[in-house]
Amino acid sequence: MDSEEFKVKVFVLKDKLYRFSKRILNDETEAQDVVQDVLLKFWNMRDELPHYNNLEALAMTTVKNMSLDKARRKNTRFNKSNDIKYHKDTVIGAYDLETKDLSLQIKQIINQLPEPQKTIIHLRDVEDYDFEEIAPLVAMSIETIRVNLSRARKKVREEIKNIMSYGTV
Amino acid sequence: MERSDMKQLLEKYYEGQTSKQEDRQLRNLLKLYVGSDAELLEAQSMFSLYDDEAKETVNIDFDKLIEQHKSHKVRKVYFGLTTAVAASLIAFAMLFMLSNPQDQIVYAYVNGKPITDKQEAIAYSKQAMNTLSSNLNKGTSGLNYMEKLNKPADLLIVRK
Repeated sequence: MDSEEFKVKVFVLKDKLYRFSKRILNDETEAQDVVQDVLLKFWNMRDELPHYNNLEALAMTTVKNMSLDKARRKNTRFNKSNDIKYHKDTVIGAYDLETKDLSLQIKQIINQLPEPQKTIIHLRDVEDYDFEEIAPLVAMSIETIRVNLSRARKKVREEIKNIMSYGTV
Repeated sequence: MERSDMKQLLEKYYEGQTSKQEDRQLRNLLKLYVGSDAELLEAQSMFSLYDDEAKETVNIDFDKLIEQHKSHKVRKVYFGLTTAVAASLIAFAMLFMLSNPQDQIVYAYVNGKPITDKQEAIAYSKQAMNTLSSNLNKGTSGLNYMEKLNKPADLLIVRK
């Protein structure tokens, strides 16, 4: 695969890969690093890429695995530090009621969903994936995906309702 | 579409039972919604966020990325070579130190042979100094015959 073909078939996925990594890591810089690493990894194996049927699925799976690894490492480091209380209060805990921006609050709600709900809602509602496309990425049946998607959507609805009822917007 | 129909479709969406086409229809309807129904307004905000997120891009330049990768590879090779050379030097130094333990000090080398005994080394040093001294005291008269070599050869021819 030459550079022109690589650009058309792999590099063109960079924004989608970035959004997916950012959803998992909740960090723009780290997501960009992951995407660059994945693109370079694919560039180094560009001669083997034509053997793969679905490059997008392969790239998304690679991004997912690398992002989850990074998130795990980050959490391990974080948990060892003395800032656990700060983390719980500011990141995991209740939404920042001071924040006036509802979009930001909804984003926080989605980012705090457990895996694989977070991945599934992102792929379906942001990236507009079919259930058949999501299945290999989360290694689940379509019915299980539907159940997880429903739970995630209902959780988001419930939290938006709470925010609205607090009258912060 | 009636508001009740919209809410019914929204409920189907929350159950995860809508098709992609129905999802799109719901989004388009909510974009146009200007009422005050709280549930529909909440959904409107949510879909608006999803639409915004789907437009997010990352600024990565392909040529720069590949160029950086190449220079990084070259740096890695240099680093590898430097590390190998440094490791070899350390290994060599360690081998040298092991073959010459510190309790066996080499005071001198005589004809390539290490002298580890202090007295023996002193004796060899004295002998060397004496030899040097005696050679310095020798006269240069022995070299006088060299002058003859400088004389013209015709002086040596016997004339009749």
